[in-house]
Amino acid sequence: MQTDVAIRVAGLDKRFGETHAVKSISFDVQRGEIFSLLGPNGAGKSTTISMISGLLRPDAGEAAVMGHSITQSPQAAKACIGVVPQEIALYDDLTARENLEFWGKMVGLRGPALAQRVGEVLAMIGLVERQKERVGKYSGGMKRRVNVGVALLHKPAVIIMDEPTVGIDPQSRRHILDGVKQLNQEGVTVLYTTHYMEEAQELSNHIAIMDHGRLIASGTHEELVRIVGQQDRLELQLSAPSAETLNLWRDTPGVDRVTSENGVVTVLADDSNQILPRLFDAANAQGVRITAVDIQQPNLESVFLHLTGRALRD
Amino acid sequence: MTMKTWDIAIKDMRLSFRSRSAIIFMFVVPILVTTLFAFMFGGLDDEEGFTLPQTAVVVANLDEGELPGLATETPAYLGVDLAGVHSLGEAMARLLQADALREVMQVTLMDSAAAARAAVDNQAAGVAVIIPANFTAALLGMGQAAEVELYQDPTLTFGPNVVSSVVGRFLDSFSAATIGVGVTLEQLTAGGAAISPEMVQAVVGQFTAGMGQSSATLLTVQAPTGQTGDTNPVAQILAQILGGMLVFYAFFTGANVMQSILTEEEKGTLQRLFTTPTSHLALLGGKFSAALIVLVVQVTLLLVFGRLVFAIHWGRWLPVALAAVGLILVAATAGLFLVSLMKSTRQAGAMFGGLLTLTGMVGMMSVFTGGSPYTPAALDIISLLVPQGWAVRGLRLAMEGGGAADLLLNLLALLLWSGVFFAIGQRRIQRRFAR
Repeated sequence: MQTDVAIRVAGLDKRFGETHAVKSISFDVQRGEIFSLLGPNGAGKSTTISMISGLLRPDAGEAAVMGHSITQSPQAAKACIGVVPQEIALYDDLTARENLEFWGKMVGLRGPALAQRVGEVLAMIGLVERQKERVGKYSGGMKRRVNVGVALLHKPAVIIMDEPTVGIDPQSRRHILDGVKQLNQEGVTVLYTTHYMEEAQELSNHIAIMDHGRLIASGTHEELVRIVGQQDRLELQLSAPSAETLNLWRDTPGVDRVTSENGVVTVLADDSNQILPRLFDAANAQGVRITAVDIQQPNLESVFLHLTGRALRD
Repeated sequence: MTMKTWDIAIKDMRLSFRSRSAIIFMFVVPILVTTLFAFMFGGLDDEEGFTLPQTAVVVANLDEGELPGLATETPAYLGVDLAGVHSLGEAMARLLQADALREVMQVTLMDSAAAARAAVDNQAAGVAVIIPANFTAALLGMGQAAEVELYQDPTLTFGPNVVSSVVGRFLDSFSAATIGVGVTLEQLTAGGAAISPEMVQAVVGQFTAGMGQSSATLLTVQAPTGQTGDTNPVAQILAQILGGMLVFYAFFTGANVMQSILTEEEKGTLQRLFTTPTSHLALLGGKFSAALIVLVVQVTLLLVFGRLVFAIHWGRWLPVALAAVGLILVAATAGLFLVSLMKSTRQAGAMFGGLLTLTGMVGMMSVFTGGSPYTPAALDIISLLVPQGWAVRGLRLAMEGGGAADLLLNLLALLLWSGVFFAIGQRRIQRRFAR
């Protein structure tokens, strides 16, 4: 079935007991794009992609991959997907080659085609020379590469990556991000979940922001940033943060929002050049000293803060 | 079996055989335990294998009696040639030197009681048999009571018991003869007959000649009752033990391989498998096939090992095969059932260490009591309350020479257990998969 939509999500809903993990979300992922689901931990990103990849049965709604319903034709839909789970899902007591061969068989590869593709993937992830070592002896970064490699074996039309860079060193992270771009250039559609704003910003053609099981915003990076207009984001540290100081800042003309978390006060304002002296004056009036200031241009962090009143890092 | 089922089975088998702990439980522990028992029973030196400990015995025959009648009328007693002996003390000493006892005792004759006791004190001998000077006279009722002294090393049990038994038997026989002689002489006296020494000797000769016609033997070593096909008693004991170990650890193997469902769930590979176009049935089939194949390897290797190393005769091939098939099926399905009850591998300790050990011990009760006539029948029945008991019974039936027909009821019982385990286990696992 030929369609421009690689993944269609319509009203997906999932509960775990009392917890409403995903609340009737809908979105389309176009062929050939990198689509990021951005949100803090517990936003419902992993549950959403678990339903799309056929791992969890939705309570309501439907998802289709390359036109194949994940509930009606799960095998056909799954054949189009390569999934990179958040945790490393490999057999430690098998070598890298044995792992790739096994997972290749699970996606239907056999004989010479399997051997050839395993060789290609080993070269792609840079582990040809260490292919006969057991994965359990690999470093975390090497395991991550095999973890990604498994999803590439059958050259799937869609790759779903669930926070693949969590807890890894910068070098391996860069390796994975470059790999995602490379795949995308080869025509693979990527559905990528992350709670790192920079990754979503760097990789994505389209970003959907999730919070508490809901899709709260969706669009390109530019479209999302436009939500907060041209507001600057100021991060300030105070010698003695007080509720009075923050209230004074909230009442300052030109200040849109003030939040304080983990000793850092974040202020969304129309023009940082005009606002900053007023913030200093208000702090001085309270006898509070500003010890650090960081001014940032509008970005996805600002968008999330604007929409939820909370920082994305939480 | 689909290709994917087979691929999953191969992968799980590979993982099982690469797991050090799995290998230890599958092969090392059963072999080690059986080997320890083999050493306890004195090892397996040759084809016969079973060797009794030999005890050094010194005999001080101080008997001064004369027994001319015995020399001519009683040429053999209990298979021992007594021709030419002049006293009952000499007869006893010759009895203790009999060929039948040579395997268990090495007899040396000494001249004095003191020398015999000294030999024991110096640990040159385990037992001293001191035959008193009035031994013949006392036994024939022609003198005061006599007492044969057994002076023994207190740390020994087997050798002194054999000596005591042989001496006791000898004394019992002659006590009966003494009574017989006494009664005869009394009757002759009551009848008015004049008793001359020649007449007494004639009567004594008649009785001792009668004793010599006994067909009893001094010592026989026999296999436990009800066992056929293997004359090596140690091999028979080891067969029971290795068979029990085989059953006990086969259940652990089945549970251990099936536990990979939980391990994979915790590692995330199970979830990853579900994102591939692989059906739940293929996955479960693969896991179960792996358990079956690993069990086939374990059971076969241990049976072959037992045959080659411990000279165990398991029985004819068809009954053994039926017993093995029953064991393999029930161990694999029990593993599936147990794992279906568990939420995580953290419960494995309680489930395997507790439940499997407990039921395994109950099932193996017949291993430690089997073949003994003193075992209450209830114990055998209790062991059949658990599947391990039926599996042990199957192997024992085969070992005892049972045919395929004898094994059918047992196999049927094991198939029933397997069917129940499989039905419940696969239903629960499938429900777990279909979240």
